[in-house]
Amino acid sequence: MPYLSKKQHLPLGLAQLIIAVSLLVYLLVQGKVNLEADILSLLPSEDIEFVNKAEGAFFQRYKNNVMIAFSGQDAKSAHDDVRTGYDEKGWLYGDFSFPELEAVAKLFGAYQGYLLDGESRQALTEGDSLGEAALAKLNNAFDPFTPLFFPFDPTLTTASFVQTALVQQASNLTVEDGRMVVNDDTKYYVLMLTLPLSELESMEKATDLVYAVSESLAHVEAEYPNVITSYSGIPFHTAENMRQANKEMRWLGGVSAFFIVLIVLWSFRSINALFAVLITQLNAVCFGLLALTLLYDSVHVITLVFSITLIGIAIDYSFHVMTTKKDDSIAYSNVRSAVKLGCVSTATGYCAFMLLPMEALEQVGIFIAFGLVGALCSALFIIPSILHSYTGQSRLNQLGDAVVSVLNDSRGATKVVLSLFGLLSVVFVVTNEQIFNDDIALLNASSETLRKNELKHQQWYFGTQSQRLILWESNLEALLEKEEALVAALKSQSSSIKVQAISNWLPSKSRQQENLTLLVDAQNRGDFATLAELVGQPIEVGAAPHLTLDALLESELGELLSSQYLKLHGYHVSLVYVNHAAKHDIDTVLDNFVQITRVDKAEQLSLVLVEMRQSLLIWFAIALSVFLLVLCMRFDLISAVKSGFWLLLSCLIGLSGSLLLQGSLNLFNLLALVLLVALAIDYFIFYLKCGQESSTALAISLSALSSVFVFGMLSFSQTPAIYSFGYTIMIGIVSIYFVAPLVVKRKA
Amino acid sequence: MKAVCTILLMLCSLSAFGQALTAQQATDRLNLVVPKLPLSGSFEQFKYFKVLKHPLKSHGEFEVKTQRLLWQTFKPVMSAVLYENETLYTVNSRGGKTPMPQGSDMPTLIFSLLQGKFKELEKTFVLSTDKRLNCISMTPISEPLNLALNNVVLCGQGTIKKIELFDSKNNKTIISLQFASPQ
Repeated sequence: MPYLSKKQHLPLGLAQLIIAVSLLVYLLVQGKVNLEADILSLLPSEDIEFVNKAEGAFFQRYKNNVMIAFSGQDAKSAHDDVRTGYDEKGWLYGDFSFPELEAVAKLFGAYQGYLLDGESRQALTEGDSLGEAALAKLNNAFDPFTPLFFPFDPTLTTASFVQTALVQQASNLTVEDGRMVVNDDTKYYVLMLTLPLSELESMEKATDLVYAVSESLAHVEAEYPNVITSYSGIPFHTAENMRQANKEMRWLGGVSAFFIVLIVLWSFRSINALFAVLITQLNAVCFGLLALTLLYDSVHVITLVFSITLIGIAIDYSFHVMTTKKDDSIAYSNVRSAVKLGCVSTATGYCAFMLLPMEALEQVGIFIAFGLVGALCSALFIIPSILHSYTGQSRLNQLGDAVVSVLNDSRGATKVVLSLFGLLSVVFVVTNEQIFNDDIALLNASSETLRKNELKHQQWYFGTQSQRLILWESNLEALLEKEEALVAALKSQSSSIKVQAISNWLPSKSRQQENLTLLVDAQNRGDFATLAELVGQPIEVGAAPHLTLDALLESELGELLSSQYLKLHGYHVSLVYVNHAAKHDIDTVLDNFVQITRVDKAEQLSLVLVEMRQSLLIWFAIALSVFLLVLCMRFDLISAVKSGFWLLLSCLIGLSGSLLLQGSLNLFNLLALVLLVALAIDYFIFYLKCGQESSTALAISLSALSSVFVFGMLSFSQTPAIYSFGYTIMIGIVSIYFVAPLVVKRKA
Repeated sequence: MKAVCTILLMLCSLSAFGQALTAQQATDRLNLVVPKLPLSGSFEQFKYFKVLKHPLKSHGEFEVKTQRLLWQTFKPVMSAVLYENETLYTVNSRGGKTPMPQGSDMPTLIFSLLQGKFKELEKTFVLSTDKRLNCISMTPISEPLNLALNNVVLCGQGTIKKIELFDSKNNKTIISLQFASPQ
């Protein structure tokens, strides 16, 4: 690094600050800083990228859809009122219901002869007559299919085909007088809306619109006191998470900032000191945000919530420089080199987040690492000039001496108490039955009510125990044949399994040909002679060409088909819903197929969290070893061993304390350890480099106090991931603060 | 004078046929005594389809219990409609059961028709008088019932003796019931 004279420090520091602020303002004005609040965007990229893309393509069209349900005495009137309002806005999602049976009869009746249900095919394959079955069906006075299908297909095999396909549809939604209803334990009137969120310019506006919908439902409940409304859909989750994150960012950040201002003013009694701290914070945040804006297309709100921890770390450097005696050049030089070493070690700790396959955490690492560089620049170049004529040094010395005295006096007690806590922690962790919980719900701050609604509404739409499979093949015929084989294999597991597949409506070409051959043979055998006599003319089969995908896509069933079929990267892809089947049974069947996968995002992500947690533990061991090696090389072996012991003990106390408060640990407690190590290394370095000087002890005390306030604030978050992080850091920091002086000798 | 008479006759006809009824009025009109479950009996059915040269005649037996219904046809082919465990099935001559997708609407309807439960039927039908004194005409008011049926007529005195079903394609099914005694 080229030598810079002290005179150059301030101009250089101010220049970088002005450039950073100007560039950030320019990017903000240009709208280059985009916020992302969609929880699904946190998903790490998976091995099977194709499946992800296919799943995205299938569900992209529904991402702005919401479902609203009304129940109670005046539910119908309330539903009608709300529907009228949204109809005028053009938000009603209309393509949800199954087309009228008459249209379906006309559609499939045209392909009479090619379509057989499994039972009819089996009967024909075994040489049984279908004539009796047709007569029985015709005779059934209560079968609504018969009058509709009989004119098109007197064999009524097409009716049976449609009937079988319909039985597989798991949806509980039906239409009554043009209203979508669910006859569950209570009667629900249901509305599906597509919110125009894509047309809005910002996440804030989208959030406001979604909240306007939920508030309008609250008004409906006020207007109709005996009506209960419920709503679900991704937009509501996104809006709740967005608003929660914004709220937490504002008040957690606000309260943290207030306490820090209070600490600075109380300890330094100088506006200049506060100004110096603010400049450091501003520079740190500018550096962090600039890095994020330049490196990423959008920044996740979760990143910003985690990133308020920068306030607690960046302030450390200000405190160390501000508490050092300006006339003691050796102490000042020691502090400068300790600040640099501390910055490198902490930034390295945060850069470890980049190794994790989750972009939001990678962004946290980038934000803090660059933010620390900004804080370092400010601490080294700007603060010394601002506090050039600071006159409160004697007060600081007094405070520092008092802290040293307290720490000296409590050394014995600290050793005993923390060792005891460590022992209890080991016993508590070892005897605890469930230590870890890796549920993906940890990332979700959605309300309990919304989650319950989501589950209930999903069951209405997709049925209970619904699993999704994605299949792909290079041509449509192969895809349909694979679906048919899959359906047969699944049904062989249990007759109660229901499978919604496009091949239910569109059999493969080869199967259609087989069906026709079977029916023609049956006709030649005279199976339909009685029927022919009844209608007074011969029964014809297979008069028209076979059923094709294009014919179905252009028909009333087009929406249903296209919701389960698409073309992607030259592949024909289908989405299959399986109901009333255990995951294990499905997976057993899938073992015999290729290019097919069961999609369960929550389960997959929970598995990823487990893997991440395990790899983080390994990383923690390696990182700890590297840090201790650095301490060993830079200082001595005994110091490194002592630091390692007390650090491990503090981590253990932090984790067991969190376990006690949370009931179980998760990935985010371990992520907190990464930060804890980075902060602890700072404390150890300063003590080892500067000794238990009053200025060092005071700076570390102020730093620890500010960190406890900042990270302690995270404990008040509603999101389990965030408060888990907060608990571990807060408990760990308190422990580290008391054990850090133990690595150096008592000050005489 | 002839025109006036015609108009008066038409008005009289209107008041006599197609007059809306409440469930109680319909029950009183047929002097119905709602039978206790279980009940059973036999039926004879004629199906008049426009595409059929002759009506399709069939006969069989029925059995109604709480939450279970069996409508069994003996001729021309052995088959049945069975409702049990909250699922409606068609049963073929070999006893193979296939679930029907109509859900619970159809069994509820059959239960109510056989027992003449106008209180129940009133929820899904508009009840009105028929030109025959001992019959009640019923028009479905909501989907999915009105997609399958245009009109249903229940006839009888004391018990339901005949059910006439008119589907959306104007085909007619006439079912004559004979309850086993005692009912």
